[in-house]
Amino acid sequence: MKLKKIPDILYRFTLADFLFILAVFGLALGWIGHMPVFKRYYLADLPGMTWTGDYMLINEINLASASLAAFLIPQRIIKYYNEKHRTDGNHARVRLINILFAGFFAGVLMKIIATGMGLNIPRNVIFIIDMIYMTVSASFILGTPMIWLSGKIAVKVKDKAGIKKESGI
Amino acid sequence: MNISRKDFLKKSALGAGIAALSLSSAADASENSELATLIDLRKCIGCEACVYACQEANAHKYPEPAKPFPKMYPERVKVSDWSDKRDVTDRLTPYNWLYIQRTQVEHDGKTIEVCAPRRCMHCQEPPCAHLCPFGAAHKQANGATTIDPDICLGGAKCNAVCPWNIPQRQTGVGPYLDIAPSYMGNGVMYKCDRCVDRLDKGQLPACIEACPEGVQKIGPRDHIADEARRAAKEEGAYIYGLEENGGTNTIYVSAVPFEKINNAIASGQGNPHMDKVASVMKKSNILASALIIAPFAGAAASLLRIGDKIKKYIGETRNETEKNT
Repeated sequence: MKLKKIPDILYRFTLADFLFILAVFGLALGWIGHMPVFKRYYLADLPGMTWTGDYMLINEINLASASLAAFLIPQRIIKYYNEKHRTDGNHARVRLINILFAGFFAGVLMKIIATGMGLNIPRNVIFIIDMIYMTVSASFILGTPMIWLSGKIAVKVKDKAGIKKESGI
Repeated sequence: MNISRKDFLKKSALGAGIAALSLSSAADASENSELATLIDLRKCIGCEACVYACQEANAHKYPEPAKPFPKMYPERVKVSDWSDKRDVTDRLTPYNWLYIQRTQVEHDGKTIEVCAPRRCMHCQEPPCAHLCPFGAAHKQANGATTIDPDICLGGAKCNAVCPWNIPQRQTGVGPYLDIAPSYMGNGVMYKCDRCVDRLDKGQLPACIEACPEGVQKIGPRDHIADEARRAAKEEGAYIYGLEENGGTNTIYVSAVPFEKINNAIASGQGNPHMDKVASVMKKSNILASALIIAPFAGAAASLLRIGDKIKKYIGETRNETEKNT
C-alpha cells in the first residue's frame, strides 16, 4: 500500500505552532462548552466526549488555553511580521483571520477579567461583556473555517483556470 | 413544634431586639466590606417564622409562568414547574428560598433535634456567578449573590456548579420565551438573594427580622467569623461555612459536629448537604493568575530569542569579516 505523502505544511510547523493551535482549540471548546446548550444537544454525550460535560473542567481548560495563547502571542506577532516582510504577501485572508482572532482573544480576556477574577463589576457591564464575548467568539470560530475554505476553493478555481498558484493559507 | 401565641409574641419581641442589634452591626459595616450571617443552630426551634417571612417579603419576586409551556426540543429537556406546588416548605423551590432542615443526631449519649435554616450560602467565590454564561448570577458588593431574572435563561448551570445545588428552576418565565423557547433556555433560576432590596433600604433580611429566637445575625464577615470562632473556642461549638468552598457568607454554629448532621440528613436536589466542601474555584483562580503572568513571560521569552538571534548574526558576520580579511 502506498503511503500518503505528509503535507509539506506539517514540516514547517514548530512546537510553538502546535501549542498555539492547541490553545485555540481549547478556547473554542471553552466557548462552546460553557453554554448549557452544549449538553442539551447531546454534544457532551458523544462517545469519548462525556468529560466535556464538566463545566468546571471546561472553565479550567478555557483559562489554561488563554494562558498558553497569551504566552505564545508575542512570539506569533514577531513571526507574523517576519513572514510578512519575507513573503511580501500578508494575504488578505490571513489578515482577516488574525483580526478575528485578536477580537476573539480580547473577548476571552474581557470575559475572564469580568467574571473569573471576582472583581466587583456592575452587572450591566458584565452583561455587555458577555454579549461581546459571544459575538466575537462566534465570529472567529465560525468565520475561520469559512475563510480557510474560501481560500482553498479560490486556489482550486485558479488551478483549474490555469492561473499560477498564489501563496494560500 | 407548637408554640403558644403568647410565647410567640414574647419571643418575637426578643427576636426583634436582637435583630435591631444586628441591624446596627450591619450598618457599622463599611460600604466595601462583605456582610455575613451567623446561624446558631443551638437556638433554632424550627418554628418556620423565617420561612414564612421570607415568602412574604419575596412574594413579589416569585415567578408567574405563562402556561401552557412551549414544547421543548430535544424531548429529553424537561419542564421544571413548581407553580402548582407553591406551598412546599420542606425543600428549596423557586417559591421557597429558605426551609428548615430537620434531623435527629446522637451526640454525647443524647438525642439532639437539629433544625437548620437552609438557603443559599452566598459564597465568597461563588461558582454560579463566575461561570454563568450570561452574567445573570452576580456577586454584590455586600457579599450576597443574586440572579437577575431579566437575564437568566434557565440553563441551570448555576445549579450544576453550586456545591450545594441551591438555585432552583421555574419553566415558563424569563427572557428565553422571547428568543427561541423551544430550542434554547428553560426558564429562570431562583434562590435566596439575602433580601438585597431590604438591605439597600437599611432593613434586615426578612428571615433575620422575623426570628423569635435570634438564631441569625448579620454583620461584617470578620466580626461574624470571630464570633463563630469564639463560640467554637469557648463553648465547644462546631462551625460550618467558614472554610467551605473557600469561605461563605453564611456561617453555621452547632452543638453537634456537622459530619453527624450531614450523615443524618437526606440530601439531594433542593435539600443541600452539610458535607465538607473544598474550594471549587481554587484551580480556576490559579489559572487566572497564570493568565496575568503569561503575556509578560511570553514577551520576555520572545525578546530573549531575538537577542540570541542577533548575537548569532553578529557572531556569523564577525567570522565572515575575519575570513575575508
